[in-house]
Parts: sequence; structure tokens; C-alpha cells
Amino acid sequence: MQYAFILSIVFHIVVIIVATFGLPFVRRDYEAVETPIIVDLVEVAERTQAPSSARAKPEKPKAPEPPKEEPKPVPPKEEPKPAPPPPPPPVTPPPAPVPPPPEPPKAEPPPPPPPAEAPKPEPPKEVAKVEEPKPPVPKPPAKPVPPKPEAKKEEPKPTPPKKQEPDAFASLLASVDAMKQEVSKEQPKAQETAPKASAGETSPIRNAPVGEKATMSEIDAIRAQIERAWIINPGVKDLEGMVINLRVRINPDGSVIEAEIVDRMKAATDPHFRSMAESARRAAFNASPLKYPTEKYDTFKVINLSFRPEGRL
Amino acid sequence: MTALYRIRSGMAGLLALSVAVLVLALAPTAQAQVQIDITRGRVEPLPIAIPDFSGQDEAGRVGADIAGVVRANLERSGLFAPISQAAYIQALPSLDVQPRFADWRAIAAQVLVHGSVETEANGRLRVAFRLWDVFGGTQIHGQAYFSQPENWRRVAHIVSDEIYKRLTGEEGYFDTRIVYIAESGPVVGRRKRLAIMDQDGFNHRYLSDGSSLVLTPRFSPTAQEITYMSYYKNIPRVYLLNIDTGRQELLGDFPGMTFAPRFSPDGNKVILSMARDGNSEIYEMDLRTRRTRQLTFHPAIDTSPSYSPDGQQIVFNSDRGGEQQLYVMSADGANAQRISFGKGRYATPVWSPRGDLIAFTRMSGGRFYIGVMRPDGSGERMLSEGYLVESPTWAPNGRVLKYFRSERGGAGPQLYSIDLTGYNERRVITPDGASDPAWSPSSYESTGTTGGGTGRP
Repeated sequence: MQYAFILSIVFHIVVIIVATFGLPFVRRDYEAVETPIIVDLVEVAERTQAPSSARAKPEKPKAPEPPKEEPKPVPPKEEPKPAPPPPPPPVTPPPAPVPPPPEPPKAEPPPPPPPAEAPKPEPPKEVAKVEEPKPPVPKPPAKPVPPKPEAKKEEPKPTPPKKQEPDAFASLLASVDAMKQEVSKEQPKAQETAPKASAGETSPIRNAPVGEKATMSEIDAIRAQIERAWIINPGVKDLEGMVINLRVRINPDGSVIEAEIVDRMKAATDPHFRSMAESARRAAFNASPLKYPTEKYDTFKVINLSFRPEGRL
Repeated sequence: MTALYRIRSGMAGLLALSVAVLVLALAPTAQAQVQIDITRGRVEPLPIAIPDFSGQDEAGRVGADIAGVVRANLERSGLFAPISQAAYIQALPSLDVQPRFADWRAIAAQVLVHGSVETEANGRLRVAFRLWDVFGGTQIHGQAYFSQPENWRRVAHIVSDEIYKRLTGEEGYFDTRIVYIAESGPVVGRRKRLAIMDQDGFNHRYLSDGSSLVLTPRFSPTAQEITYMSYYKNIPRVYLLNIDTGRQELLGDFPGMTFAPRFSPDGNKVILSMARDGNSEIYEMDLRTRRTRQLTFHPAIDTSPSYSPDGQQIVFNSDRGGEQQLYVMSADGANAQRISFGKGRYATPVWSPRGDLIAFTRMSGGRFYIGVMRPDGSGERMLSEGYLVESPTWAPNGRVLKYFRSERGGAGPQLYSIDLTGYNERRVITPDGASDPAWSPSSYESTGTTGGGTGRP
């Protein structure tokens, strides 16, 4: 009887310890292996050109600011994998202790195009490593054993992380400069080959030169300015489904010339619509002068705004 | 070979040329147009500039008073933020002076009210105003009124209504009055008197002397009449009081009644709940024939009915479902449907004059709430809560609610108002404690107590 009692206690303790600390051989799956992160150098406008019908949200992750590009390709790749517990997603603003890991792999994008396929399953592990900055530091020397070709590049990295940083940054800046030059070279070239625009979308600005298209970040900047300036009265009747379309024309300096209510018939007959439409007009004027990329004046000189006040309550 | 090559290159060149021509022809027609969706904004009062209405001598003093009342009304609605006069750059001595819109834009005013008051030869006042859109530099509204000088408050309320209506698309509620029960004295042996005042608290007077207990006044939608309950030898009686003439008549003895009747939207009927044979049911009484008709026939307690603004439906509370909840039925008593399913007890439903919401009192977990829901029961929202908040009443535009609130400790109930969006909860200042508010309909044409009429040219 007593023997059974002791045995039961021992088993209980074992279970509790396993639950707390985990089984040792399972642990190895969580080890992050350092792999290079694949970087795709693309032109800003091509990736983030404003879509006409599909609202832009799914494109946001591709929104390219060169320094941030390397964490961004990671989230889409993570989705298919059944993620191990340290959840991968918000890698984008990595906290302070973490920057060393992502930078160095980015510094080596041109050399490893062939190993591009192999490390595909590994980036999540790389991310997992990112999530636990302190503990993996003593581990990295042991880790690169499985993926042989990458290990050679990664090994020197973790041990003197600080020393690598300035090199990584310098090369990062160099690549950014290279990209900038590329983009500016492409712009005049693109203007010559105007019709050969990318991605046959049904956008009306398809035929504009590539460098002149409105990018998502520019659209968002204007949206933020208008939203800051729009004073809504949320208790108005019949707000559901109300859409107010405004055609706004601006001067090259961003000041608003005219904000025209497109559906003038409705504004004349429906007092609730009229009051919301006038508040939208006031918002357009209140936001003047608008900040927009002045070199793309031809694209932005007429802006169509759609105000949807519903959902305020 | 070379001939073929030459032909091919010639054709290629021709093709390239035609493409280029086509492109050059099409390129100018391709309009670069940006499309942006705006779905968020700021819920804030609209900055508005209302300088004192201009005028000579006495008219100028009245003009300053009128502008003060307009400013207070618009500010109290929570939808407008009048800018302090100290900030104004341009002086507007008369209505003929064109505003310099840059000056008004500089102080962040989006709308400008520019008014004037003149004394006519026969002593009447002519009050006029223009409503300007500062950004566009255009006049969007204007009106002129003639009035007796002592009626200037009503003119100010009418001007406020016009501005409110033009800018929000909804009817204003400033030319209205509140009737309520004024409570004074110790907690035991409280004196309750019927009182009436303008919606901004001015022109306050008592309608009864407090010798008998009075409760739950209700306004008629068409005439200047109120019904209220008064206990006479412990029997509740319903009286009909004409505010202008002071004439009072007895509608009847209604044993077992706890709320005064509510009027139908056409003012010809009242609906009330009464206990007969120990069961509280809802009855309708025609004011012309004084005949009552029973509408509910259920052993449960059915009480506190309220008509919809089209008079086709009635909302009431009943405990036929086991607990006190809200039900909607058609005006002849058929098809009672339950609409409230939340926790707690629901009481005092009132249908909004706009028709889109029903306000109610809810008691749950030892707290009281004022809430609204749609007539089908969806969209239930709580607007206010407290130790005791009760008895909501709608403004005639269905936008603002008044109710009374009591805090623990016997400090006495006070009147509060709140916007239907839940913003802008404010206390209404009254001489004594106040409960059971009722809001009058708007824009009544009265020739009685306020001294002279107002005419609109």
C-alpha cells in the first residue's frame, strides 16, 4: 500500500516536471537554424501601385521600404507551416536585442541564389530564434550542423554579433544606395517606354509611366490627412450604406481648388445626405494643403474620395 | 537571307512605329485618377463662429442676448463648438458687410453665423441672420423674423433650430419645453409639484402647488396639453391640463395605474395601463368619446405602453415571458412580439419620434441603465448607468434623451440629458430636485403665455 503511494507520488512529480520543462528530445525541434533570408530587389512603385478595385490590404506586407524588406518576405512563407509555439508573425519591428540576426543574412543576398530553395522551411526557425534573443546565443555554434552550406556563412555571425553589425549595416546601406540609383535610372527609362507598364490591372493609371503611379504609402498619407480633418456627426439617420463621392482638384502646392459632390441630385433632395456630404467637403478643404508627392502632380491633380460614415456607432 | 532579313526588319520597324504612334495617341487620354476610401473621421463638435447680432442701442443689446442663447443651444447639443468672441478678427457691424473668409478660416471656424437685429417703427424687432460656409465662401442659409421685443428668447431658439437643421439635416429641438416633477423638502414628506421650463432651463414656473402628489406628466403632440397623475384619497386620477389657459379637467379615476397615459401621435387617443380584477392590462381611451377599449388580454402584468410615431404599433413591458421584458404589438392589440432578451428587467419603453429607436430603463445587477434598441430588438446599447436612472423621454427630433438620475445618499434626483450616440451627457440645472421629465413637441404656435406671436415673412 505504501509502495503504491510512493510510486504514485513519484509518477506525479515526473509528470509535473515534464509538463514544466518539456521532454528533452522534443526540444530540438524548436531550435532555430540560421539561414539567409531571401531578398528580392524590386522597384517601389511596381509592388505598391494603387489597385483600382481590390482594396489594398493584402498587398501591404509587400510594401517595400528597402531597409524593412527582409523581414517582410518572412511572414508569407510562415503561414503554410504549422508554426511551432513561438508564433512567428510580427517580426517587422524586431526589438532591440534582435537586429543582429536578420541583418547579416541580408548582407549576403547576391551570393546565395542556389540555396534559395533549400532554406525555405527554415526561415520560421530563424524567426523562432529571433523571438528568444537571450537563450539561443550560446546555442548557435551547435545549430548550423544540419544545413551545411548555410552553416558556413552563419557560423561567424552569432559569436561576434556586435562586430558583424557595422559591416552588415554598411553593406545594407550600400545595397540601398544601389537600389536608389537603379530606381532613378529606371524612371527616365520608364518614361520613354510608357505603355509597357506592369501587371495588366484595370487601373486607369495603367498607361502612366511606372515611376508616376501612386503608391500605397502615398495613398495612405492622403487618407490620413483627410481622416484627421473629417468631423463626423454620428447620430444622423440613415447612415447605413451611405457613400459620399467627392471629386477634389488640387494645385501643385497641394491646396484644394474645388471639392465637388458627385451626386448633386441626392444632395439637393436628401437633407441627411447633404449634411454628411457637406461635412465631407469641409474635410477636404480643412485638410488643404494636402501633402502628396509633388513630382507626381499629374497623377494626383484630381483625387476621387469615397466617404463612408457608417459603422461610427 | 538578307532580303528576308531586310523585309523582317522593315516589318518590325513598321510595327514598332505603329505601336509608338498608337501609344502617343492614347497616352493623353489616359487620365491619372487616384481613388481613396475614407472610412474614419473625428467625432467632435463642429467649430462655428457666432458673433453677437449687430444692432443699434437697445437692438444691439438684444442682439447680444440672442447670439448668447444661440451659442448656448448649439454648444449644449454637443455637435457644435462656438469659438470664443475674443478670437474673432473681423468685426461685422451690419448684415451688408461681406465677411472676409480668410479671417474666419484663420481662427479655424468652418461655419459662420452672421446676424442683425433692427427695431421697427411699431416697436417690433426684425431679426435676420445669414449662415456662411467659410471654406467655400458661400451663403448656405438665411432667414428673417419679426417679433415682439419680449419674445426674443423664442426667436433665438428658432434661429438655433434653423442652423441646426441646415447643418445636421435633422429637425432642431431648441424651441421646446420640458415639464417635470419638482421635488423639494425632506426625503420623508417630499413636496412634489408640477413644473415647466424651456429646454435650456429658463422661463421656469410651477403648475401645481404641491398639496397632492403628482406624477409622470406627459405632453400632447398637437395641443398645449399635458396629462399627469395625481393621487386623490389614495386613488390615482388622471388630469388633463392646458398649459396656456390653465384649464384642468379630470379624465377619470384609474385604479391600479402607475403611469399617466401617453398620447397617440395624432393626439386623439391616450393609451394607459390599468388594473382591473387584480390584473394590469393596457387600454386605449378616445379623448373625444371618452370610451376605453382593452388591448391586452393576458394574465401577466402589461404596463407602460408607448405609441410608435406612425401610430401603428405599441411598445410596452410585460412579464408574460416570466420576467419583465419589452414587447411590440400592433395598435389594435394583436401580434405581441417580444423584442428584448437581455439580462435584467426592462421598463418604461418610449418610441423615438424618429421611429428608428426605442429607449428604455433596464435594471440589472443592482444598477439602473438607460438604453436604446431598434424596434426589432437588435442593436441594444446602454447609454447611461447609475444607482438610479429612469424614465427616458425623447426630444422631438429623436436625437436627445432626457431622464432623471438619483445618487445614493438621498441627494435628490436631478435631470440629465444625453445624445443618442452616448456622447454629451449633461446635467440640467433646476431650482430643486427633478424627476419624471417629459419633452414637448417642437415649434408650437402659441399666442398665450409668451406674449405676442412670432411671424415669419
